[in-house]
Amino acid sequence: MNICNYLVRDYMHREPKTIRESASLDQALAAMTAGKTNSLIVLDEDGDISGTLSTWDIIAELVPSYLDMDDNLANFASGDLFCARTKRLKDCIVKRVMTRDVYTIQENETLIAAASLLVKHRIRQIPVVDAEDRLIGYINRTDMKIAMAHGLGIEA
Amino acid sequence: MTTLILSIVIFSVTYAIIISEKVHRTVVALAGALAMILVGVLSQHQAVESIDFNTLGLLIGMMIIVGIARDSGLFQAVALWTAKVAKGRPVQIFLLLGLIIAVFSSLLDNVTTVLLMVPVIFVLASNLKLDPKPFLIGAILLSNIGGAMTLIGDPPNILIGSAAGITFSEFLVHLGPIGFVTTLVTLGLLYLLYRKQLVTTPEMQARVAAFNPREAIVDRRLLHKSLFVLGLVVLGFCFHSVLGLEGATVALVGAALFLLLTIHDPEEHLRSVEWTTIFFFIGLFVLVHGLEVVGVLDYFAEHLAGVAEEDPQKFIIGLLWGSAFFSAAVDNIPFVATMIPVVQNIGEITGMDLKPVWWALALGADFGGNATLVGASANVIVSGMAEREGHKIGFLSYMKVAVPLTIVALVLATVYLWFRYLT
Repeated sequence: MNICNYLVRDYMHREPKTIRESASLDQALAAMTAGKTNSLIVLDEDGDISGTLSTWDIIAELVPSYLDMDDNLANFASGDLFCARTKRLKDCIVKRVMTRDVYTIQENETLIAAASLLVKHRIRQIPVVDAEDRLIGYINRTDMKIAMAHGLGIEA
Repeated sequence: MTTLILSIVIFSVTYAIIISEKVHRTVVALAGALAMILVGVLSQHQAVESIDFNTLGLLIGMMIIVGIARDSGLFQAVALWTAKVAKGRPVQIFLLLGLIIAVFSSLLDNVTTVLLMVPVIFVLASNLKLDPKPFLIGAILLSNIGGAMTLIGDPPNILIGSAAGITFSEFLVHLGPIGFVTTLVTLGLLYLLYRKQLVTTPEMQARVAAFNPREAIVDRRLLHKSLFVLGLVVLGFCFHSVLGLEGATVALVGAALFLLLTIHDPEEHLRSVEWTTIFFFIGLFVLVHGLEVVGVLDYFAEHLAGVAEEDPQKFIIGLLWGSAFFSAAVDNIPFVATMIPVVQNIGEITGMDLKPVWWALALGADFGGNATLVGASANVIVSGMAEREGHKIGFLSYMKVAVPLTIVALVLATVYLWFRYLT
């Protein structure tokens, strides 16, 4: 590896962690917990990518909208609000809270292209697709960290 | 003749689209206004002359002042303070909060009032394990009733005050008493209606009683500046005619002073000006003037002047109820904007004292907006926020409460107008 030409396929994961857009948020949380991840790729009924779901999206759903209108009002919210709102997540489906703007990359593209996508859109993970736009894996910021460490000759 | 027909067609089509809410009202009003100029109903000069810059200045000035002041947490702290004063007892909180909403709404725009108060209502209701609906319905009703009390409380009042040259203190002296009585009666009836729902456990009551409203204050220095500027502006309004200043001047001086005191980036604060509302008003002024120059409004005025001369009492009470009916069905701002030149014309024809006519128009428009969920902007905002939190207020279930209470308010207004001005 003397030529420093890092490609997405060298660092990507080939087992994407996915969820159906019709799944409920408790199912999504179960998938995230089991997969030890904060991010899932959302597929529609045809198996095409329709969005991404991160823990952030679920937290944002958890917090009632009236609390983010005022800075200090959350100090007065009752302690059981968290629990009550958590229970309600079961009634909410992935499609409603997912992030709809998806930026994908192909495995033959360069890592710098992937890195710039992460920075530009402030995202943590990019789905990797083939020429027909079918999902084949993902690459995230942890992979970038490993690639940068390699570039500097840092051993794990 | 052609300009007459063109003017009527442009005006009717524009108002129909505004009422249908298919396209944003600001876009429609501006398009209609420009059509009046392009087809030659109005010259460009006439169009610019028709814009009431006093109304616009007053709206912009207050939007800037309230936009900065709300960041201090002042309004939320006062609302939470009611919970503490009431020692967490739901009925007392309900009544005190209702009064606070009416008072805030008389100084702030109704929409701003509910945007500030509804989050507090949700927090209090969830702490007390109460259904927030009675509080939300109360917030709608009292924000519109409170708004009727002053010149700056509700856009129809600003329009009327500016067009008729009515001062802030005159508004307060003439509409304050009826607004206050209606607030108390409405609160009393809401209490009778909801008292069985307004019960909680001692633990929850204690939790709310232990609130420290100071924690709601975000920025103490900004709070002091806010109180200073708001106080000065209210004083300025009370004496604006003595000082020889227009309402717009008072509001804009307050806004400029506030911007000077906070020295923040003005861009951030000027963003709190709702330009869509401002441009909506501009469009309306031009549209209404387009109808005025071709003589349509004179025509209506002549007919109504006949009624007014024959039986002024019937005319004024009829105007109150008619204006309420229109305002319940459609946005009250376009209605009042159209009625203003008509009323002015009636005054010229009959030579009658127009003051009671203005009070009837304002009270009808402000109170009438309460009858349905679409009657006023504040209603739409509250029902949207309620639905998002899973407490949907049904259109008909709202009317079941609001229509009788609106009728009560209008009966009170009728009695008030009758005994104070018509006998």
